Amino acid sequence: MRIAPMTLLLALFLVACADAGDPAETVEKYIQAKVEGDAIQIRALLCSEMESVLERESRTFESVSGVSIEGMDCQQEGESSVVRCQGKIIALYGTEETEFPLVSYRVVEEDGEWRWCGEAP
Amino acid sequence: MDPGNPLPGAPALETAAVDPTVTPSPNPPPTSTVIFETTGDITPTASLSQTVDPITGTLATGETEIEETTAPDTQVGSTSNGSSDSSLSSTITSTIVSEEVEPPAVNGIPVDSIVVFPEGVAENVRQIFARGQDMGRDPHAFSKLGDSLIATPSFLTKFDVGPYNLGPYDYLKPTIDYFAGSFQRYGVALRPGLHAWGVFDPLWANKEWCQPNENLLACEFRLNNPSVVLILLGTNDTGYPPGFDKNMRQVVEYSIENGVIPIIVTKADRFEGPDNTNNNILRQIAADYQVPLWDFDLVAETIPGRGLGEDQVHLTVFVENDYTMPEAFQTGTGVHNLTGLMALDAVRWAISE
Repeated sequence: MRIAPMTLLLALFLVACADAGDPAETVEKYIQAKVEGDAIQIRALLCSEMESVLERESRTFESVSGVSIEGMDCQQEGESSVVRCQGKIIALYGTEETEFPLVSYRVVEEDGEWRWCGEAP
Repeated sequence: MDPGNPLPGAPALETAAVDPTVTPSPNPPPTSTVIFETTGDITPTASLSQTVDPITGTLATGETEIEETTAPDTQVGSTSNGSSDSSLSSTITSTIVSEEVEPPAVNGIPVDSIVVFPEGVAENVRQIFARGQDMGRDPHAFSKLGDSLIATPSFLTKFDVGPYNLGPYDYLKPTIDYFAGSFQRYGVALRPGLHAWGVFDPLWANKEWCQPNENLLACEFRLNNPSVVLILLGTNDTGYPPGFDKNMRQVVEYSIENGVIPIIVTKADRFEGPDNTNNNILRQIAADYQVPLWDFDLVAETIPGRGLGEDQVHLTVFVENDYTMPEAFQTGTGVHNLTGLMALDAVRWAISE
């Protein structure tokens, strides 16, 4: 069976143009995974240049007695690689609450997917 | 706002008068070095006994001649055949040329057991300090890195804002003067719940003061430009000792690389378990890197309830800061603040030499 070269080219074109998803959604998923200590999801959403901090990212809220996200709302800034978030993470240590405000994050596209890549300047 | 001042949200404190030009006191360090100049033969039988006041711990002053004749029949220093050596009869003239007195212990624990600072550590401290000076570090500034145990106005602040009474520990006053302003400073490296994992995670950095992707320790060093950092972590590092070890080493290495002398502090609690794992890790790291160890855990043994409150984590509070009062030595913060000042004092002496 002969696969027409045009068909192959078309397939490659479609892969290249596939929707990498919503950068804001990626960031929200990442923050959720970090709060839950979900190392598998964090690994899937972390950009390659930050792979060395995977363990740190996975254990951030390991010792808390309670953690939640309040009012998270993330939006991509135009067509840029920056996603600005509002809201905060609230962690409970014993009887003490510590708040972590959500800020702006950088995303990069790798293998056709958006990946979280740290805070944006 | 001047970033050297306590941050918004930090406990409101008076601003202490700070004289950045204050230099270390020329007084000798409170160590127990006694130097003898000797004449005559000294044999193994010659024991130089010193008269020390058991109450004050002071030696007799002035030039002292000690003449000592060893009995010929003494067993100490006898020859192998059991006969005595006539040369054992010796005259020793000793002149005390320098005299320094042991600083008062804390609840019976010698200061040099609480503040572990052998000569190797002192030499390393001087090297780190010199590197920091080349980088423009403020020799009179220290920072605090830690969790809720020290993220409180009970920790050291009264040495800046007063009142305090050092009582028998008044020799520490020059250290308060030397580091004036740092005691009350809250900084950006104190966070309730902080663990060693979090130090290098920008999430933990104060977003009002720190730059994007800047971790709280780098941010604190940038804002305060210290020469010394007190590191009290470990209570919240539960469940994974290798991670605590790895991250603490990273904290120490980062401090040293940046010309900041790390003082490692042990904790009184056993939050991670009864085997004291994290304190033992801290002691090993201090030894490995030859940096000062403020072993508060050791002296906590002498405080009722280890100086811990009902939650078995935070310290019982001593408000008066008066070390002529017995209560000062029966409460967590009373002993914590005093021994912390001793740790800073040791560093001050090392970098002043």
